Amino acid sequence: MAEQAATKSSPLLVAVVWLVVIAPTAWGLTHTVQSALKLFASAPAASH
Amino acid sequence: MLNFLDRDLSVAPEGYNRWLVPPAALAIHLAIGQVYAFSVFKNPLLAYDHSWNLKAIGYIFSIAIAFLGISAAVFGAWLEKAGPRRAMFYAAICFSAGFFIAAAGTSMHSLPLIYLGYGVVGGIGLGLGYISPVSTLIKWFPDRPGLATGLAIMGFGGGAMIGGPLAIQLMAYFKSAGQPSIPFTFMTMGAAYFIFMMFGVFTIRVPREGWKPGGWSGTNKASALISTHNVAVSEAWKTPQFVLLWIILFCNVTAGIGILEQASPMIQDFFKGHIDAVAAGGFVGLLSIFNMAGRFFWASMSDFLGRKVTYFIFFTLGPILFFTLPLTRGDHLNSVPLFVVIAVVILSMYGGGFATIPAYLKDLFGGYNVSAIHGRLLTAWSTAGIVGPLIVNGILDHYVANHMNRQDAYPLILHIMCGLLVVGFVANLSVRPVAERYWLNETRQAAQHAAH
Repeated sequence: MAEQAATKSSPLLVAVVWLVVIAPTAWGLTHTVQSALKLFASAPAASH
Repeated sequence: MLNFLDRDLSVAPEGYNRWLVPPAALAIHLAIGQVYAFSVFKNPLLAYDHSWNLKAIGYIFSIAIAFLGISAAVFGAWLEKAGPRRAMFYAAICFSAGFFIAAAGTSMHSLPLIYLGYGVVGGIGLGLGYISPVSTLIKWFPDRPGLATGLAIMGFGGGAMIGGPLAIQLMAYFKSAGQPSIPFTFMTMGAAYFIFMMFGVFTIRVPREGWKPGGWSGTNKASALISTHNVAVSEAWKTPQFVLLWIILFCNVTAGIGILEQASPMIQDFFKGHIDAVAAGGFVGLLSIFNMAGRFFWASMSDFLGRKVTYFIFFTLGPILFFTLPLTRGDHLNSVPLFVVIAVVILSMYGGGFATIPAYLKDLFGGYNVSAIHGRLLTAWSTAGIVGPLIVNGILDHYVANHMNRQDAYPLILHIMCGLLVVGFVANLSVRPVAERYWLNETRQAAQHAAH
């Protein structure tokens, strides 16, 4: 039985559902990237 | 009252978009991945009760990871019968209850109660949550099992990125409000994660019997290692393939722990006077990003490369990188960028190893009992979680106790990990298709399915 109407689920619903998990991930990623940038902030003095 | 959790009531209606399923799995994994950020509670707990020491607090995480492996192994077969929604619901209950019990334990200054809460009860939630969406995702994405499981397990890597800053901000907020910061933070996180995981419980759907994606022929790239037969969990764990995959996961995880366990002190010791604690914290953050990204990247790539080739890359490139890493330190090549690049590639393969293993299991044993088999295989992770730190801390303690330079201990540790990866290489090379005598015959499969 092949998938007959994959578009029956509303694309808006799919977007909202993804947003629910992407939003906290993006928040956490922002914090982590900000933390990671501290490595590069001190890297010029440390690298050859 | 809990009928809505039944497998039959979670079957997707016709036309249900399969892309609604990965967020359900991600909701669970992003929540339970918080366990990797538990270290943010270490110093606050130390300051909270001066009779507690770092070692005693460290047991909270170890117990949680041990119970992750135990519960995944014990409840895997039950999960196949109960369905993903019920398993995810119980995972949410246990994981959340773990926080509340730990909050009570903190208020009562009782470390055993915290062990019981966050460690045992929460750990059971971790195990149930980790394996619950795997077989469902594989059924929804039979054409791309690596991508599907990679997406979910990427969430576990990303969970720490949310859990870490969330805990720090909540503790700061409650402290400024004059409330007991740790118990209130535990309770808030327990409630928030329960709601987030319930989103996954309500969103998850299993495909209808016989469903397959539109335009998919029903078979993937032909390979002797992609079986069209199923193997029951009761037989799978007796096969040499299960043992080999256990060794593969164990070696890959133990080697990764060799970096993760000492990431911050290692970079500071390697580049003394150049990298301070703040920059080292940035390095740890970078590792967590690549740990997460590697889960999605390598698992997705494995759909094209094949699982055996993917692990071949891990176990070929890995030993070279582990061998090279000590050469980058201050008294050799003295290159921070090279050190960082090597470490992040290693960590991407560490994450990739976790995320690719469910698809490897599916290839070898079929999708029928893959969650249960995966659950039993996760005991390799629990074992690595004990052995890895034992190797790393044991060698470091030996050097310190004998007044030797701690920096000199790292090459030995990394070379041991290099050797472990060679063992993994041999195990991966030895993987062959599962013998016919282990296959589930169709009559038995139908009977078991009816019993489900």
